[in-house]
Amino acid sequence: MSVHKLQPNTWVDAYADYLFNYAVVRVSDEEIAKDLIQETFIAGLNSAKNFKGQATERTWLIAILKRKIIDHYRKINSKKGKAEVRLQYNASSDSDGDWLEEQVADPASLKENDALENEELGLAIQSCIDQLPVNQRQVFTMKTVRGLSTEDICKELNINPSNLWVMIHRARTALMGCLNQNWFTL
Amino acid sequence: MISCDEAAVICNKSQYKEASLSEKLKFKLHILFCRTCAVFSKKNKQLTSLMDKAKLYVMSDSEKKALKQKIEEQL
Repeated sequence: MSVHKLQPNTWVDAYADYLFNYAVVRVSDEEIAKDLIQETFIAGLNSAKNFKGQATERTWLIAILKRKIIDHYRKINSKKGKAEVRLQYNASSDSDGDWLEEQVADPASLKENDALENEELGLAIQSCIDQLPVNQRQVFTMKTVRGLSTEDICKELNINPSNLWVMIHRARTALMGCLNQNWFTL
Repeated sequence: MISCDEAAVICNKSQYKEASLSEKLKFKLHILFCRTCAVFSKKNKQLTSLMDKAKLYVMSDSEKKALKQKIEEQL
């Protein structure tokens, strides 16, 4: 197995979006997620000497991020009253009949599975996007993820529309191939 | 009749709802005869629906710049 090396100056471009997507779905807050990413990078720098080169950089950073997410939940939990006794099954409902039966998951609902699957899909797509050449990645993200108009992108990057569509085409073709290998539905 | 390259551009534009009506008609006609572009169109649509389903998040460029600076300072 090849030995991986840390290259902190490439971290933001290479992994920030991936880590960000990973964190956002777990803390459900973009601002908190951004803070956690920053803490992750700093912690990564500080413990760089512990990196043995067995995992890839991204796996290693994700491992740190996981700790940061757990710490985050510990912190917000300790702020709440610890000795809170709940007499109601469901704190948010004031209705009389808040029986446990009403709170059971609906077995016919696929929502939870969908959410899980969509998260994995998101990370699969993000890691495919991260493999694109920089200019394609930039154009594709602006167009597809941020939903900017063709005109705005052309103005900002100083390119003409046919350039833009060529890059979009290459990016989309590459993504189809990448997802074909890493995701089964395409 | 349009070429496959032109068809591909129209197909990509349609993914962002930016193809004009006449372009769409030309494209429809093209994929009646061109199997390759028909397959490409199908996959392209799938990619669009996957992207919609995934709801990706991105940090803005300025936030990334700030992050980079923080890392530089620590190095």
